[in-house]
Amino acid sequence: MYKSQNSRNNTAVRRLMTEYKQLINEAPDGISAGPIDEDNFFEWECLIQGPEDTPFEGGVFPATLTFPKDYPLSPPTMKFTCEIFHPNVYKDGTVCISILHAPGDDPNMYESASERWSPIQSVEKILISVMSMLAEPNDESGANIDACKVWRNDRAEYNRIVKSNVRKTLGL
Amino acid sequence: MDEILDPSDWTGTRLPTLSLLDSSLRCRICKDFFTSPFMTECAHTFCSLCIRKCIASTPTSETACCPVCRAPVLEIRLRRNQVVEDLVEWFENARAAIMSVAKEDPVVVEVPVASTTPERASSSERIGRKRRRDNMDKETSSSMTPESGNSETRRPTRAASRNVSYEVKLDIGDESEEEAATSDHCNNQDVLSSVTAEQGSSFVILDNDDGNPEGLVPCPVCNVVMTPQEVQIHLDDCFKEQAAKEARANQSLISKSNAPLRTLQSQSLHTITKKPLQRLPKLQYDLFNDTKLRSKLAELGLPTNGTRTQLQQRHTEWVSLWNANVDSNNPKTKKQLLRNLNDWESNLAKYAVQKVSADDLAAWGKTHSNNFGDLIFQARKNLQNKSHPEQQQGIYSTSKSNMQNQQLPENPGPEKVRTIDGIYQKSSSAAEEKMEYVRDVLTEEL
Repeated sequence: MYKSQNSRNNTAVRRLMTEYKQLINEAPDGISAGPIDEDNFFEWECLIQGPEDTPFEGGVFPATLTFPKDYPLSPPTMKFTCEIFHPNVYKDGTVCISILHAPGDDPNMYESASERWSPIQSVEKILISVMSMLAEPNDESGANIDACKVWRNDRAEYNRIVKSNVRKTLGL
Repeated sequence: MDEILDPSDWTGTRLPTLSLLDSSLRCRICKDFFTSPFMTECAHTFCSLCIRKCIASTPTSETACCPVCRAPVLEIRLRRNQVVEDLVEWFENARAAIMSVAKEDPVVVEVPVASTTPERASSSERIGRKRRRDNMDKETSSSMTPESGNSETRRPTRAASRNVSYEVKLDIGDESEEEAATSDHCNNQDVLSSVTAEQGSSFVILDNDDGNPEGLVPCPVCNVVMTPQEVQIHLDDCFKEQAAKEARANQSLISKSNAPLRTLQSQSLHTITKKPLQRLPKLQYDLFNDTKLRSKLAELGLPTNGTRTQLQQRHTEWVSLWNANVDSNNPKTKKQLLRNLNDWESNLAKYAVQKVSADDLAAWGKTHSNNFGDLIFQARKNLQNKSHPEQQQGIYSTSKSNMQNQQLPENPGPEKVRTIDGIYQKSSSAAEEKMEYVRDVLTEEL
């Protein structure tokens, strides 16, 4: 499956293979990720555990990572494939977080360059950032305005919605 | 997956700490061992090709920054990192052997005798090393304190039991001993182990001085036993001799083991200066029209088909590939490079299609068609208002009256939005019809 001469010369594929291997060998807590189909290393599926002491606790959230062909020069995009109510996740599931934005584009004009994508970042770092994003939303860069409002004004309601979503993802 | 080697290979082996060495010899962009490592001004090292591509991928050369610390990076300021290159080569050559040794242990465990002895030896060695380091720490720290006279000469006086007046000399002696010990440690593993076998303790130099005849101390450099007075005279000569010896040894070591490498390097450097292996300049694409750009590519022997963006991307990629190849110790032929370029381009074509599919766009357009309709309607309205100022006034007055009507309710914030909605709802039935029409057109188009 890795025999094609093409993939050997392809920096993006080699790098994604290395990352995949490293994630298998040294799996970080609460994160699991890998290509959906090993013939196409540019589409990954990942699972993120809801961080403890947050309303997301106990949940397992599936998402897809789509890598550009010039990875790691450009960042991948991440999209939750389950329902998720969070200020920094668009209603269609797309994650809006500074580490996934190249220094050039800034959708919300607030991010400092230091927290943006750089080729030295990795899938592991992205997933860890997303985990901490779940724990600590950034309401200055709202992707889901409704969620922002509820999070800011009615934390109890926010917790209730999130918890009901968690139950939904677990099929309860 | 087996062909991919990475630092996590070392976890679970006997030498897990080697994963740190392994990962620090890798480029942080491609996660592979450095290929022609180059260093930025901020002292971060990357593969020549990786950092060049990274710089080329930024929109302008001013925005190029170091991927690690984001300090500005200029391509012409990149410098070759020769030491790292050698380290990588040597480590890569030895990696498989070290790995097999590191993985051997679990097999040995099955044989009890064989497994315990190396274990014990290694632990005693560790203790020995620690003890030695402790001693050295004490010595260096005590040399700072005022009563250094006593503690400094503690080691020799333990044998000689007499106060000595050559503490300055010994100070130097101790330092050099450290050096000698460490250099021993690094270079002459064989010598060390043979000594270990003879003395039966892992670290001889400090541990065995108790065994010297009364009143005699070993020279810290060559370990020859003599009286303290003799030592201070002897030390100077011994140093010179030792230094000369080491220099000679190093030279022969380098010339022996490194001979093919060095000649290769000098050769390739030679060819860079002599042969046409020159770095390619970047182009200011704005200054080239399509025809000029095509002829430029033809000049370089590259394919000239495709759109302008493709031409530009191809040229940028080629410049990166070419310049990184110039940096390489084993440059590829132009044919190989062209094949790489071709691979890169076919990958680009293969995956570029996946990025934004037309279906997604259409679906998105459908779900948001109402919003689009509203926006288009509002825009048209504004345009109309501008061309018919009287009408605008009319609307303004109605909106005023609306505002007055709805001023009473609770929250002013969201209410404002509602009033604006109200304006459009009440403005005219004709407008509503128009809105419907716009929506229909939009959905049809999509």
